[in-house]
Formats: sequence, structure tokens, C-alpha cells
Amino acid sequence: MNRTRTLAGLAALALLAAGCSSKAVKEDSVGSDGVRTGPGVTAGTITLGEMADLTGPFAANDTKITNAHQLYFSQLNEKGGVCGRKVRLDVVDHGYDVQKATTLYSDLARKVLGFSQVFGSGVNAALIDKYAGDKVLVYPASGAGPLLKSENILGAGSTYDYEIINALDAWLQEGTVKQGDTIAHVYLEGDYGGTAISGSRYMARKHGLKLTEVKIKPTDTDLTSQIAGIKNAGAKAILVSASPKQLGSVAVASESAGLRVPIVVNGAGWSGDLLEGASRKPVLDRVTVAQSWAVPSMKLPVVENFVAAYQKKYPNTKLDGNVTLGQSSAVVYAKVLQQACADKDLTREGVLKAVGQLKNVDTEGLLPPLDYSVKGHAPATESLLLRPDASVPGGVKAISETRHESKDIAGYTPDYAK
Amino acid sequence: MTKLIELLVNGVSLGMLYALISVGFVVVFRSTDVINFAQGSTLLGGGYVIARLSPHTGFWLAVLAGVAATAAFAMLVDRLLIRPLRQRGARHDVAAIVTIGLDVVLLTDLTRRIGSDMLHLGDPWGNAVVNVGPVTIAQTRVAAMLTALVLIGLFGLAFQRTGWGVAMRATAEDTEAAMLSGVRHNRVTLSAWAIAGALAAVASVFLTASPSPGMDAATGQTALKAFPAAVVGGLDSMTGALAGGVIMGLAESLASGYQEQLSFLGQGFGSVMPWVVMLLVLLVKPSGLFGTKAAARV
Repeated sequence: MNRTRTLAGLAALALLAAGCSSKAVKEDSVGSDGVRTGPGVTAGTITLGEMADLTGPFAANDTKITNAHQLYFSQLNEKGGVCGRKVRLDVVDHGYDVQKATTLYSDLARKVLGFSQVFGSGVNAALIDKYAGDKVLVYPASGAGPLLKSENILGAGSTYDYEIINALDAWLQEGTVKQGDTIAHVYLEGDYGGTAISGSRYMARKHGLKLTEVKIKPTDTDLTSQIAGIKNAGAKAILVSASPKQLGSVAVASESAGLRVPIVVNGAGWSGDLLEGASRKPVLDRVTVAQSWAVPSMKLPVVENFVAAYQKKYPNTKLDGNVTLGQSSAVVYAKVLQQACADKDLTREGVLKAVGQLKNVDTEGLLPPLDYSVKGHAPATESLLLRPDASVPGGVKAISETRHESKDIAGYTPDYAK
Repeated sequence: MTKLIELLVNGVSLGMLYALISVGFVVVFRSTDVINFAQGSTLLGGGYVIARLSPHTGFWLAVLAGVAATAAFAMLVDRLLIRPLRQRGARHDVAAIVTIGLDVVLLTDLTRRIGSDMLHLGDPWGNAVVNVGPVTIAQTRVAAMLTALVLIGLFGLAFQRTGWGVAMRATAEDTEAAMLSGVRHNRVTLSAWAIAGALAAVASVFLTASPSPGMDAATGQTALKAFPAAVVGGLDSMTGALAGGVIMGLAESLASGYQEQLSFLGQGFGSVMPWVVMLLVLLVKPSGLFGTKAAARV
């Protein structure tokens, strides 16, 4: 009796294993067009995964990025797709929940060639070892430097430290700050602030500036006391690498304290919402935004056409920089796929190899020229400097549509790369 | 010196806000022995109602509506969730965990509604400041201090002088004896929850006014900073809530303002400081500064 049971059990296990293996990752093979294909690639389609936050705390921003990805790839498919194949996005929503994302990832990773988006620094940190095991290329929707150490991460544009360096360089050139001056840097703990502070520390050393570092947590939204400290230190300018709400608090509290000094913020810390309420005046008067990707208000044909199509498809959404961020990153991912196609290798290894071959990638001004040939480095170092303007979509306008690049960047090695 | 005074003023005004929220914890705890973990999301809900109404009705009417809405909501929580548990003899900690669940549900819904928007409650103070000698204080902060003082003072008086206050104190002292003496326990708890809800809406106004640029989905988390304030003061004492709030506000303000001098403790110590103070106080006085000592019979 017992033996029968054991046998039955073993048979059931074998069946289960067979069931699992049918779900296993597709083996690499060569198609009739001579292109090697891997998981997620058939004769007619390339499937990419998108793990987005469509219901969590960043839903409003990430919905725009995800919609922009959908729109860009549908436009690309109308023009013939990539390698004679349509690009299909398999979108899942993790709601910014790391546990949920981990579960969703395992299932999705079997079905896709790579991930054109995995949103959220916590989610990426939790999954980064799996990316390496699965050999997938992932766009992380983040400008955090430490992520770039992984060959599985596709940066689009510059990291946060270069934005800070370029903005400080512009200040030094126009005399807003000069040698011996004190500047303050309010930055969020974690990868975002950690990347940004590396840039300000470098510039402070290089130009004899005194840097007051003020580290904050995501829950710190009343920065009055921090501003009192900054005022006491005699800061001539403030750098902010934090959330839009925290930028608002820096602007309003410094205004109340009579500390009316210029403020620079990373693109990730900007929101057009700051142009309402108490923050409106100080933000309009004193804030500059530094980022590498284009904004909807720019007079570039590639931006104007896409923004018009986006508004037609999603008429009820508020336009902002997340739309162009989505467009820019989709363009970059498509460039990688096109390179892999040219190499006749649409396997996961082929895609990873294709990234390293991309040099001087032109995105028609959406991003600075991109160079992926040096591993572990940001593909671009130039930044746009933008000023708040309530009359344009997204609430920011480029001071000059030519990007700024500090000469000091040549001698810069990021702290996180050491 | 100016910096020190500014930090002290800011700390006290911040502390008063924490006190407003922790009075909410205290009244509920005194009457029901339940710690209400949903206070943060109730606050967010109150702010949400005010922000949505104020463009149409003006600020003051919106505040009234917000206060009424959160008070009514908190009463519903008591009536539909907490009272049935109490009547079936559930332990108080079970009810506390129910409020954690409620907090998660509420927060998820409000986060979805607010999205990444920053809501403005439309307060009349804006960026205006008051100058006292070399010290500048935001008008919102002065308004926050005055409002908190008046409200907490009124409650203190009502506690001491009114029939309701006697009923409340009797319930806190010994619920069964109070009920035997004719105190209508359900009515007392209902009023306690209503007060906690109303205070949360008032606190939302000042937590989201200048220097905060507005309310977002994370505002409810800021409200939880009032937790250590309530615990330090002693969870069942009104005076304690006030003292605890001010101590916490000062600790946070001074630690943030003197961050550079405290850098040997690591950056960003300001937000950790209140919890350190709480631990230190509890080591010396386990039931908080003004809390009732639990008598143990051997």
C-alpha cells in the first residue's frame, strides 16, 4: 500500500516537473531570417516587460512614463517595428511593493527578452541579482549612479551627480557663487541623494567652496530647522536632491527666514504643482532645475510631435517631464534592440552585448549624445538648465536648449565608482 | 543666538502640532484603552476634504466641513468597529490592530486619490512672516501655536469642569464603576473618538501650510511623529500630551538645526532624535512623564 502511494506521489511529482519545464525559459534558436532569437522573441514579435507603479505612491508619474512607452512602441510598430518584428509590452503593476514586484518578476522574466522598465529604487535593489542571473537588460527609470555598476542596467541620460556639477559650474561662471563661499546641499538618504552629493563634494573640493551637507529622510517635509542651520552657516546657494515636496519646503522656509538665495534641484525633484500655493513665489524667483532629458516645452520637432500624439491619445493627463522621460528611455531601448538586430543576435546575451557597442547615439535632442562604451559610467554627462514658468506645460522652460557641460567633469570620478 | 531662538520657536510650534495630534491619541486611549493607529490616515482624510472643498467654499467653511467629516468618520469607526469588539470582550490590543488595518485601507485609497498631486488647503497665511527683533517666524506657526493652545486649554477646562469631563475621567479611572454609577460609556467613547477625529483635521491644516508646500500622500506619515510625543507624555495624560509634543518638537528642531555640530552621530539625526528621547524617557519613567503608573498587586 505504502509503496503504491510512494509511486503515485513520484508520478505526480514527475508530472508537475514536466508542467514546470513547459513554462521554462525559451531556448535560444536561429530564425529563418538568420537572426538568433532568445526568450520573448518570435518570428513576428519582440516582447518586453514593464514593471510599473500604476497604483502606488508614484502612480501619477509612472503612468505617464508607461503610457509614453506604449505610445512610442506603437508608433515604432507602425513604421515596421524592430528587425521586422512588432514590439509588444507586457505591463504589470507592482504598486511600489517590493514583495509583489519580486513575485511578478519571476513570472514575467520567463516571457520577455528584457525589461524596458522596472520602476522604483527599492524594487531594482531587490531584483538586481536576479537580472544578472537571467541576463536581462533593464531600464530602471532612475539616475542613481550605483545601479550602473551592473551590466544589466541601461542608463538613459546622465546620473544625478552630473546634473549637480553642471548647475554648480553655471553658478561659478556667472558669479552666483565664488571660491570661499559656503553652499548647502539638502539631499535624501539612499541612492538618489548619495549619487548627487558625490557631485557637490567634488566641485567643493575643486573650487574651494565650503559645503554644508544636510541629509534628510523621505518623511522630512518641514525643513524649517534645517534652513535655520543653513542660514547660520552663511550659505550663498542651496542644492536640493530630494522630492518635490521637500524642494517646496526648502523654498518656502528659506523665503520665510529671509534667506533668498538661488536654489538648484535635480529633475527628479521637480513638479509643476510647486507653482501653486505658498511655494509659487520663491520657486519662480529662485529655482533652477537641472536634468539631462528634454521637457515638453522645448521647441524640438521630436518632442513637439510626440507630445501632440500623447495629448491626442491621453487627453485627460497633465503633461510634464515624465512624458518626455518615457519617450527618451523608450527611444534608447529601441536603439539597443536595433543594434542587436544589426548584430543578428536578439538573444538576451546579444542585447547586453549590443549596449556596449553604442557610441555617440543621437536621439534628436531628447537626450545628450549617449556613449555606452565605458562600462559602469553614465552614458551622458551634459545637462539642461531649466527655469520654472507657469505658462508652459510641465511648468519648466530651458534657459538654453543647448545643454551645459562643465569642463571639470573630465577630472571627476564618482564616489560610488571608487 | 538668533539661530537658537529661531530653532526654539520652531520647535515649540512644531511641538504644539504634535501635541494636537497626541491629544487625539490620549482621549481615545483614556476612554477605550485603544491606541488608535489610524490617526495618521484620518488626518490625511481631513486634509483631503479641506483641500477639495476650499476652492469652492473658501478656507474657513472647508475647515469646518473637514473637521465635521473626520469627527463623523471617527465616530463611525468607534460605532462599527471598536464598540462591537469591546462588547464581545475582545482584548484592547486586538482593537489597536484593527485600527492598523483601517489605516492601511484608508491610506491606500487616499494615496490613489491624491496620486502625485500636491494639494493646497488654501490657508490665508501664505508665506507671511512675523518679525520679533532679529527672529523671523512664519505666521502659520504663530497661528498653529495659538490654535493648539486654545484647543488644548479648552479640553483641559472641559475635562475638569464639565459633567462630560467627569464622565470621561471616571471612565478612564474604572470603566465598570463608572458605568455602575450611571456613566453612559458608549456615549463617552463616541465623543472621545469624535474629538480625536476633529483634532486630526485641524492638525492637517497646519502640517500642510507654509513652510510645507502642500499636502501629498505622505502627509499622514508625518503625523505619526506625534506617536513618541504621546508615549513620552504618558499615554493617558492630557498635560503629558502637551509636554511630550513640545519636547519632541524641540528635540527634532534642535537636532536638525545643529546637524553639522552633531555630525558625529551621523547625518540626518533630526528625525531620529524624537525616538531617542522617547527611549531615554521610558528607561527612566516607563509610564511616561505624566502617565499613570500601573499598580501591580503582589
